[in-house]
Amino acid sequence: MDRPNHNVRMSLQTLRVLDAFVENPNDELSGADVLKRCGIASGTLYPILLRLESAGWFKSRWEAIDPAKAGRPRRRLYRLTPTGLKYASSELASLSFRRGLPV
Amino acid sequence: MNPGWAQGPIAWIVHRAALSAPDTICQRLEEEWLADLSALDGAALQLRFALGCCRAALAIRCERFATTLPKTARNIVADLRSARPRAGFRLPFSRRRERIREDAYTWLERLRRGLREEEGPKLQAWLRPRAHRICITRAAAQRIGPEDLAVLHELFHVDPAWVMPRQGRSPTISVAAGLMAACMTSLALMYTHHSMPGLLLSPAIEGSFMEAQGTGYSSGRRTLRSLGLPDGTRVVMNRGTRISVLYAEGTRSVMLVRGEATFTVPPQAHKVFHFWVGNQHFSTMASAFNVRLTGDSIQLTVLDGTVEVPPMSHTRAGGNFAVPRDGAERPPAPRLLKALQLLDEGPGMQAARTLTQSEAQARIAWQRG
Repeated sequence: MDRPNHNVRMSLQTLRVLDAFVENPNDELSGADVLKRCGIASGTLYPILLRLESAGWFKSRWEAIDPAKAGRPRRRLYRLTPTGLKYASSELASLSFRRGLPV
Repeated sequence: MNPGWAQGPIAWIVHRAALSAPDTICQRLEEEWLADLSALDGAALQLRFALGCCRAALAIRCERFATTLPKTARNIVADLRSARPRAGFRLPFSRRRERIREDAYTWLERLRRGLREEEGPKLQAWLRPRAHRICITRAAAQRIGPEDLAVLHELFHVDPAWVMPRQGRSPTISVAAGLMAACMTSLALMYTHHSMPGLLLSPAIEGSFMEAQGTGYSSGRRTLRSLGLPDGTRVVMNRGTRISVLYAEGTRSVMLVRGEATFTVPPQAHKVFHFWVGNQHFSTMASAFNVRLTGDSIQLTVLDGTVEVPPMSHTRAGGNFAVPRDGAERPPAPRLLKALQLLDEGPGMQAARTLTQSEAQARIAWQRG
């Protein structure tokens, strides 16, 4: 993986995505989960996920299930890396995003 | 890729979207998106998701392309992008909004460097309109300058809803969709009205419309009048009778405003003959009938052919087919009146009976003077 990059272009949508992950940093979320939690469009979400993944804030893996047994396709799961968690928390804290803008 | 989980046109859109993504992640995205698609409920949500994937693929492709460029080339691209002329056609309110946004950015820059003495009152004046306050708050939020937002909050009350993503459709899209729906509905109504006259408008509306728009013919108080209509219909009007005639392309309509008249309607291909008596509507393809309007009572005698009587819903308000004034129940009138049948209709009642030939002739005896 590339070295984590702090200079990620931030937007309100990016912060909302980060917020969904920071709430439970150990959770692994699929794109559909994030869509449901944040309510942002898929056209915005996936570029953000890929951008954060290439910046080293997220890491992703395929869900370890047998699709035939589970009766559904395997999903791509994302989770925050420790560095990502640090940066995300700092961004969110500086913006006080979770309590509603502004402080 | 495991096919078969999501299929149909929506999955096809996702598949096509993934093909637009960079080759290195194309397969991964397709599988990931199809899996996420199957986790969503509802066709509308899935379609929205699929269309979003098209946008996502393009955005990812653009981002990947930009990052693979050398730094100098990236600068050139950025310069070109910023120097690119914007679309020429702009609505007036759009230009105004853009000007407000530019002003907002200018004020944010000034706030960052610190306001000069003379700029304070100007900023206060600029912030007076609510639209300006919303715009500068959004600009500050987009730039992710918490210090900007904190400063703004000192200047005025910042509503958190201003910077939250808007739920649902934008008002512009809603208005445009509403207008489009109204236009399409109007077109459909116009088409239906022209192809099937009388189906959309209630007889009462058509009746009053006919009275106002049709050509009127009256007989004298003491004289009968006979006339021929463009389609060959013969009308004999009793004394003191008035009819209104409206013939247009695809329709032939007559209204008996008052009095009594006998109509002999010849057949005409695909053209129904509509006639209104007061507010009541009848129709026939070809027939001979006598109709009399006395106050609120209608007496329709079919001499030849058939006449269609409107269904219950087309009767006047409060109309009850089977219950006459005296309360005694009678069988409801048939939908189709045949030759030598008489329809007697008044407020709150409608009944039909069969006449003998001599009774029928007696009903048009007035034609002989």
